Amino acid sequence: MQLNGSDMSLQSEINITPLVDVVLVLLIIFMVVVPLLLQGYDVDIPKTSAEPVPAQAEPLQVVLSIVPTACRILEPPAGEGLPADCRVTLNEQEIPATDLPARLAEILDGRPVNQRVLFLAADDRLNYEGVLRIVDLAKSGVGDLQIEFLTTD
Amino acid sequence: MNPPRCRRPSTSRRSSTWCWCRKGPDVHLPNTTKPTEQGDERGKILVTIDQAGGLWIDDQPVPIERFGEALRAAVGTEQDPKVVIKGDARLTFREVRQAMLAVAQAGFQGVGLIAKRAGAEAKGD
Repeated sequence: MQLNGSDMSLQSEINITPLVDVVLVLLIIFMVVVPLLLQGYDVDIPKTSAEPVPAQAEPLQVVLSIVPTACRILEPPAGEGLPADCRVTLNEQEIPATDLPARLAEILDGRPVNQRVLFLAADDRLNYEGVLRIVDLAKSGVGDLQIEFLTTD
Repeated sequence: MNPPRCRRPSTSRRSSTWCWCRKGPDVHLPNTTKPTEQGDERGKILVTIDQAGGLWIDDQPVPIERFGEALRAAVGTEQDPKVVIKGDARLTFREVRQAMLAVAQAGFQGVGLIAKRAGAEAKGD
């Protein structure tokens, strides 16, 4: 084809070089930034106080206890979950760990967001990864659940 | 891809110098299914507990008896700093609890516990 009497021909192919440049730059940015992103769980550590806690008319506090005799997580748990026979104690009632999300939802879903607090008392001998998996399980049952670790020191 | 690690000048830990490198020693992060986003490492005080139970603040090892002082020094004049704990998955809960207590005694009430999403490539390893 001739344009204005010259031999210049129209290119019918898309020039992908600028596209490839942009994609490579985006890929490099992604590769640098992604490893720096953190994921995890926000938890609170209550300050210890010698002040007596006033008695409450109804049990507002929800306390979850984990002991190694009921949930054997002394080593990092195998696979992605918890041991099948893992049991935890929710407000002094022992339940299978798998029931935890539903039980917490029953107790806490009707409360305002700022009162959806779970106090967690975990035995010192337990494996850290195992405890985090129980936190993960608890958070899966209730949106905006706040976790407060109980400390004895 | 793991970015290279860098060492910050200890006198200006929270300096305005932009450092994209990962802070602290490598640890085997706990695997969980639904960890929530905690943002990126920059602008946070990263407390690492290595497999041996040793404490690090950013990329400096810190003895437990100097931990509170070192944490306050790391915070400096920063407004509303966030402390995140990157604990090795093989630790006992006691070791992490002691670190949380030390953080609380230094004046912080909340911390972030860092985990990695099960099945995802390790980000802190």
